[in-house]
Amino acid sequence: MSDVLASLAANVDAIGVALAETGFMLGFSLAAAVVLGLPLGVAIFLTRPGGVREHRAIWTVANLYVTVVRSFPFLLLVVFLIPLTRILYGTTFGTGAATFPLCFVGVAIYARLVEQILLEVPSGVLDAARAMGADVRQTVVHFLLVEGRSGLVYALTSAAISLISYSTVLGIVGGGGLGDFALRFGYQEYDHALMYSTIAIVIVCVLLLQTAGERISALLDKR
Amino acid sequence: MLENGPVAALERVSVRYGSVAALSDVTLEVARGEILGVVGESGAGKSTLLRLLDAAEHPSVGRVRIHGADPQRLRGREIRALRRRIGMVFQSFNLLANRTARQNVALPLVLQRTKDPALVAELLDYVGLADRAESYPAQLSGGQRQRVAIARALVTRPGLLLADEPTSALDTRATEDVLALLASTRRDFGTAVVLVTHELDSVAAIADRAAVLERGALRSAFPVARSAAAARPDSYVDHVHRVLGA
Repeated sequence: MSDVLASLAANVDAIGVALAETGFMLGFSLAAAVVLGLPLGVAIFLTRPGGVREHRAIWTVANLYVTVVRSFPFLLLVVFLIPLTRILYGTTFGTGAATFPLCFVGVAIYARLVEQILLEVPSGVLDAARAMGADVRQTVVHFLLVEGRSGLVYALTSAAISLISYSTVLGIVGGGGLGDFALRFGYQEYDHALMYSTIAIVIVCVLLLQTAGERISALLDKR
Repeated sequence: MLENGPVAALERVSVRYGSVAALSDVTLEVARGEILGVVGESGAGKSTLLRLLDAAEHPSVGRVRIHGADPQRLRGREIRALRRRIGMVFQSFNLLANRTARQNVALPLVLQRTKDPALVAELLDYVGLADRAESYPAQLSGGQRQRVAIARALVTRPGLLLADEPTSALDTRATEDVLALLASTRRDFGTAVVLVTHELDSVAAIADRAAVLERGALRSAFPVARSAAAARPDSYVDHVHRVLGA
């Protein structure tokens, strides 16, 4: 135990930096998930065959994006996106550039979860929206997102936890973060105490996220 | 707009899904302020009729007029505007579970970008739920939920109220409450009510006329006998005696 504490104490600054890097990558990719993944998931739901606003072309393209990105092994996706990352960021290295593939996958994961949650909204809600003369935007804003809101928050929690897991491999492109720290300074330096304690920090972060997500989701759920 | 004509009319309407005829050559009018009971067994075409009157579906043959307009000739925006003049009440209430009773009733106004908190309060009071305005649907009984749904349907002061099996999910007492409310709706708001149901008792209780559908065809439309109407609403105990007693 004293080994662990000593190791942690000696590396507290570096762990703080790694935690900040993970937070940065998670924050940006989650923002992308909400800003882009939520509308994408809504679009997939609306345009699906038999949907509120059926549109075969949009549905096919959006669905394909989500399926392809989600089926890519993440490490290979990072490598695959290197040329695009270089164009957009001017570099392929560092926490900022590493966030790009994470955003990519975050958008895809959350879009699929959003679609699934909207599919679970009772069809009577859409009947009511139609009967009240709601247009598509109103149907989304005043009906679907209202009735799906607790599920959407819960799904964002799941997405965040997946993204933390994905972020741990971003060390290969200099992304840093807790996973990279555990691997380089713990595993590769034979400092197992440091490795396990870093993993413990990751687990605590996940537990905190999960608990917060569950609480907020429950608060929003009036069913 | 023929605002003095019937509130809705079907003229020789047929609806086909592929080779299946859901409605065949139906001619039917809904007069202003009348309560029309539409009865029929499952698959008789009741839901299709209701979807026509809600402009959610168009006839394969024939013509529908609602508030004087032919929905088939209207564009999306105009159809949505027409639907706002039609109230709809559903079997399973279809309230938003994450909105309070007050917010549910206000929703049609929100969609029209208007606000009228006084009207919302007045309607909740009208349906006897002024004290439950801040309750969520899950905190209300089935009958209370349906009364919220009726208040929501009335908030835009529609000339036509479509009720799709509104009492099928309710117990006897709640059914009586909801029927009494639908009847008073006509009296107090002048709203025509189309009550689609398989429960003959409900039609006998409040309808002026009954239309009988069978396998997609309108078999008969006739005034409901006063004796039939006089046979109800009674107390729950009377009702049990009437149904089960010797």
